[in-house]
Amino acid sequence: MSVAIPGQYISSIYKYTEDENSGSQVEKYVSGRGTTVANIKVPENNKFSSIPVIVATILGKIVIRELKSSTNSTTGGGVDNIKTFIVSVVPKSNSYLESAEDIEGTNISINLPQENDIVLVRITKINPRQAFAEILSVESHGNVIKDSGIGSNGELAHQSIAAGGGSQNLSSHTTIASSQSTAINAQAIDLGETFKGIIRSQDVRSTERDKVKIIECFKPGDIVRAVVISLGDGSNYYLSTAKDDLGVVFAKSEGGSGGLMYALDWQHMICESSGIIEKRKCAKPFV
Amino acid sequence: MNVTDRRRLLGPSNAKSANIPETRTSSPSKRSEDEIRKMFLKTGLVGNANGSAYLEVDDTIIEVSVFGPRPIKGSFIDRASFSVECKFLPHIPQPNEETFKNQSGSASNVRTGLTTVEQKLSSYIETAFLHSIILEKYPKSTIDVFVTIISADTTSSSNKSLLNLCNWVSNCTSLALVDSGIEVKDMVTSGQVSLNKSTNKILMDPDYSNNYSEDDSVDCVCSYMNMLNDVVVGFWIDGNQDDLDEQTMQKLFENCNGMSKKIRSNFNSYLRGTIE
Repeated sequence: MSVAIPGQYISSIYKYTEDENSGSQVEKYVSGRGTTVANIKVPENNKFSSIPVIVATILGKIVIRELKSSTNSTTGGGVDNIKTFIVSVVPKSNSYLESAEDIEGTNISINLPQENDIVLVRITKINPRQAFAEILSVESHGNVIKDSGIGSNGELAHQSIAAGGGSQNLSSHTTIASSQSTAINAQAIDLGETFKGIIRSQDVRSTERDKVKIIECFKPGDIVRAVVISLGDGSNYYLSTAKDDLGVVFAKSEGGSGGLMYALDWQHMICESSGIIEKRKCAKPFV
Repeated sequence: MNVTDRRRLLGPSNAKSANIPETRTSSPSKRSEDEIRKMFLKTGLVGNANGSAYLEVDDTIIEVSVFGPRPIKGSFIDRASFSVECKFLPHIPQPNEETFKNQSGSASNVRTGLTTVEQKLSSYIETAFLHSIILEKYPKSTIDVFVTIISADTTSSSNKSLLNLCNWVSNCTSLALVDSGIEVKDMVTSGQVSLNKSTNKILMDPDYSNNYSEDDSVDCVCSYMNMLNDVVVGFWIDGNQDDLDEQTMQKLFENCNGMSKKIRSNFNSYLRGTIE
């Protein structure tokens, strides 16, 4: 695997090869994670023509995989078959690289949640209408942003660090040069804070949605598997657990002071040591 | 009568002064005109930043930390907001500081907020990198760059040394961004040259501290995305700008681009080394 540096050309979009055995063949390359398509100008007959080229956007190793689902079109055009490849760059921090089957499912260093992504969240507070959560990681992609190893992910991790990454006495947020193209009121919050999510009561389960009581579904501290249904407003992603395999994965009894609980059925969890049974919206307990 | 000074603690009478070797005066390094000074690079030194880079060139020491993408407060934005803050450490003198000192009305020596010089540097970096970062990939978040100038040679009273500093700041920022893993269209690298108007000679990466007294020179720093069609993303010109013609500009651009490419290839091999 060769190394790619941001800006490096990896491949053109199409490649045409002619082989004695297999005949003419077109290879199509698609830009995957860690790459983008840029138009590169090349001089040609005293003029410039631009060629679309797949270019790396992050530092990492190039992974090119063939898309198996690509149809070998034998009809028309004189071209015998088209092979489609997906080009990705995976960073050094990627620990899933060796085992990952689907390269699109591997993590890059920054994985902001998108719609339909499955995320793991920790419930931070609840009220009768909704549960508030912080997003810990995106399933099969890894942490939202890389944790430097000192626990910079999580609400409680860095309360001592001031806005602006700890350089507050040197920092002056009102005077810094900031992008004009974005809203002026976009204001950074603490380094230790994670992206936030909300699970509204009507999104907890798909049946009897009007009878959901948040307190009987989640408690602060629970680790919940949820799906992103909307990027939401500036502050919160909107999450849903209205599927069998979504809901509480890990929970401790008695508001976190007790032991780890195990799911009894879809709605109950039991603490092994104390025998306490609490209500939760469990993720599919029967594997 | 005892004549010894009894109010002070004197050393023993047979004391010898320490033998401190004479400090070596740094000889101006002999470089050819199209040679760039040696630099020291290191990425990832700041533990709690998402990306960071450290750069030393002679007396110039720069550290850049990148934080983000971090969540925002407030209304929805479909792309990341990008901000740059460039600060000199409090004891580092800034070029033309005296001129601007009392502008804000405060007579104290304490710097409050960003000085004009810091603001100029910040906005140069912000403008240059805005085009390179793929902001659409990071909705609802901010990317914040904090540049700290740990040491700088700003003895020259003109703005010219500032151009050289600006060049290294932008190069260092580029490395920090790559280290953070934020997706960029291409790395931004810069070059800085000085054109002596009387001799029509170009000097790459001029060292303004070493008996450099070219008053009749035009200096410029220019930032490029070298792999992306050599797009110019930032440009700052200073010095004697009388009768600037197209030919002169062409010459300045060409040499800045040449220097930018040299730095780029150095960075490439450094980055390649970090991953292998």
